[in-house]
Amino acid sequence: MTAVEGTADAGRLTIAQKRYELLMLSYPPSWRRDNAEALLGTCLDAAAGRRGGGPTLREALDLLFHGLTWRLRLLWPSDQTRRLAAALALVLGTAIAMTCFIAAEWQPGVAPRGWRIEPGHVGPFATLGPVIYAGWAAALLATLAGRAVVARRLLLGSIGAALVTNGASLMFFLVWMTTGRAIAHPIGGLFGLRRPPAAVIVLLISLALLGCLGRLAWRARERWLIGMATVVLTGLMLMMTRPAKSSRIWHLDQAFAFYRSSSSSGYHDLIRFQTHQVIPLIVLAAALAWRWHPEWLPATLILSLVSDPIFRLPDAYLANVDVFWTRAVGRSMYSDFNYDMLTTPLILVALMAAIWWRWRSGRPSAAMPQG
Amino acid sequence: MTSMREPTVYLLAALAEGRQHGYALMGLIEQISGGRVELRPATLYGALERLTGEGLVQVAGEEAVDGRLRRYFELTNAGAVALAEQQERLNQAAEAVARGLRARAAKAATRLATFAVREVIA
Repeated sequence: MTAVEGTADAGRLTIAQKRYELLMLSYPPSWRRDNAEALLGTCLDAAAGRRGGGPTLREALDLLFHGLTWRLRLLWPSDQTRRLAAALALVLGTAIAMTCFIAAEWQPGVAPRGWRIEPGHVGPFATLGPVIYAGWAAALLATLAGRAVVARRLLLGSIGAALVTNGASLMFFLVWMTTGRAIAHPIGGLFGLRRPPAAVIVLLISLALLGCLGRLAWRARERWLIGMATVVLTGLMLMMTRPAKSSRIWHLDQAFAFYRSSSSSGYHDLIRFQTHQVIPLIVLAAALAWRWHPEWLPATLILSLVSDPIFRLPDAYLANVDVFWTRAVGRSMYSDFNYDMLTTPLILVALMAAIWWRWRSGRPSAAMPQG
Repeated sequence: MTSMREPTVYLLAALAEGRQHGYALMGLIEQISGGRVELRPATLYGALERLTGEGLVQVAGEEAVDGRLRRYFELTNAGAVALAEQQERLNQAAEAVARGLRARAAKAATRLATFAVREVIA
């Protein structure tokens, strides 16, 4: 090799090196710190072997693919976190399913005064909901019996049941989103049967997916804890529906009136009633992204407990809120604004502040095996 | 015994011959697979990272050559055991294939013989 060829080779290699380094930006920084130099060496060896200079198209795509896969892998929560999330999702989902089943589904004896037995009810139940709820109850029992695989299949079954009873109407939801036309539920139209509110369905499907993310295999003592937590949470949620003092029937119009009233009115309920249920889910998702902070998960459970009363504030408190706004603004706000519209931004701002604070204090780098 | 994918088997087989750096491994794998398996650098490093995590491969030093870093890898004892298991699995598969083909050839020979005998009789 002459000196001129040598200089030309060195020039090509520098350009090649820059191109490889650019492509390697697809890898996360922590990975690059430990491995980029070794991978770059191999890439340059290969390029020198070809005498072609820079990366080939296939090499470039390969680098991008593996780099982005590494980034996704960093986001993917650890086994332990996924198991914890799955257990919490099981507890939360079963409690919600049981609360809906006990408090809102039974038609005769427990229906509050003023509620009609709506046309389109399913046997003794108000809606098709019990089909989905049965999957949750069975999944909990399977988990308590130590049958993790069966539990996962039952959760998938409950997702399937939810999709079968509601799936056709998801298409109509898109129609509603794009054209603004609310279309009655097609299953109801076809068979004259009612469905639970879309908000409940979407929440339970999301929780079931979370429940399938991790193995539900736990030791006997922890299984006992899962069972107790579900029973206690169901009890608390039922208490929130406030049994009336004057009679022995459930007085549900605060928490569950929407459950039946929304069942035949398209998908408005998905937008209107989802906030207090979806926010705990957002927190849960944040917890999964912050995999080194599993304490977010119990926080989610607590938030899911307290968010319901927050969003369904008692009338007396609302009157005070109204008085406050009337004094502050000079006219009554209560008639103009749904209180959800006041509370939701506050919760979201608090959440964003927490995320920002976490971000500012710096994400610890993920430990990467050498090699 | 879990079955490994073909590129992984060739990668471990290449490392069984001794410690290697990335580029040498790429060439060796292509050579011992008869040109069928061709790993690009990012795929190779992805596989090496996974196998390092599983304890089948370990880093065996680094050196700079012409200003490029070369990282060397070698098979661990666990990797050698896993590779031997794969050999056993592939041997079983090869024996099953050979048995099947032998049986097929025998049947074909019988059919041919029967046909020939019938022709002769006719």
